[in-house]
Amino acid sequence: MIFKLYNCDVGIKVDGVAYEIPHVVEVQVEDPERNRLTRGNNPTNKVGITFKDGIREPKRWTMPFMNMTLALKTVLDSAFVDQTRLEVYAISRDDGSSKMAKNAILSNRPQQLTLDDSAESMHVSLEFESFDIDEVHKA
Amino acid sequence: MEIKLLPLKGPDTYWALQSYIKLLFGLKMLPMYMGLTIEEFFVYIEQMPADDRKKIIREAVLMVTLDRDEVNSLIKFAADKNGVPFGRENTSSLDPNEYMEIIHRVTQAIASLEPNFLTATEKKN
Repeated sequence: MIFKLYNCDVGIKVDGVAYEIPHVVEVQVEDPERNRLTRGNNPTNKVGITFKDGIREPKRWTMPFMNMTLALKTVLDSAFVDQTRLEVYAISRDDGSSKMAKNAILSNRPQQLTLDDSAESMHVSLEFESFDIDEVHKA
Repeated sequence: MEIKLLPLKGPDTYWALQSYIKLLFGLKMLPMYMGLTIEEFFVYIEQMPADDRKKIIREAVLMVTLDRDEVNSLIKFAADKNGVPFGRENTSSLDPNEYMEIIHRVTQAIASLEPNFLTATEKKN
């Protein structure tokens, strides 16, 4: 299942240091885990057997970051090369509800979306993978 | 919290130095230094041993309120443990003590430089 989170602030924790990028336009979340039904060759079986599909695949978060500094991009480049474990979180700007990906890795090298970025303001696309997703809902 | 100091070099050092001088100005306004003229006060700061100067700057950091831009001009000369200079990306989760510690560390680094606030003629007068 693929869906998008809008109107949120996103943060990345690298080696215990939190980096926050306010007002990320959208975060695309891809969750391949599914409950499936199957049955044998008996068409009168109306119940079937359940099984899980897609549990070997990680959840995937993709997001474009605007105005990232070169210093942070360098840290993320190193995190990609070293396969460093990261925490990524998205917090709703409406009510503070959040979604967190723990033990995540950068699955693609951080890519600049335009070539004429300055060192203070880079537009970068990031893609993370994680099996450990947590949600907190505010009342 | 691990803080790495960055070299005080480049055009941004001008703004950092101005913020540092504002801290000193703020200190000058306190009753204990009101009797000194501004020149006398700067001579007093310049001739002070570096350790005493660091002590007085610590007081200034605690007592004088800087504007947001002035704070930003100072903290960009310190970096977190990953080497990212403190700025809009990595300061939102800092508590007040950590913020003060960063300002303190950078101003201490500036205080350990040889200050040169007055011309030789002004000093003689």
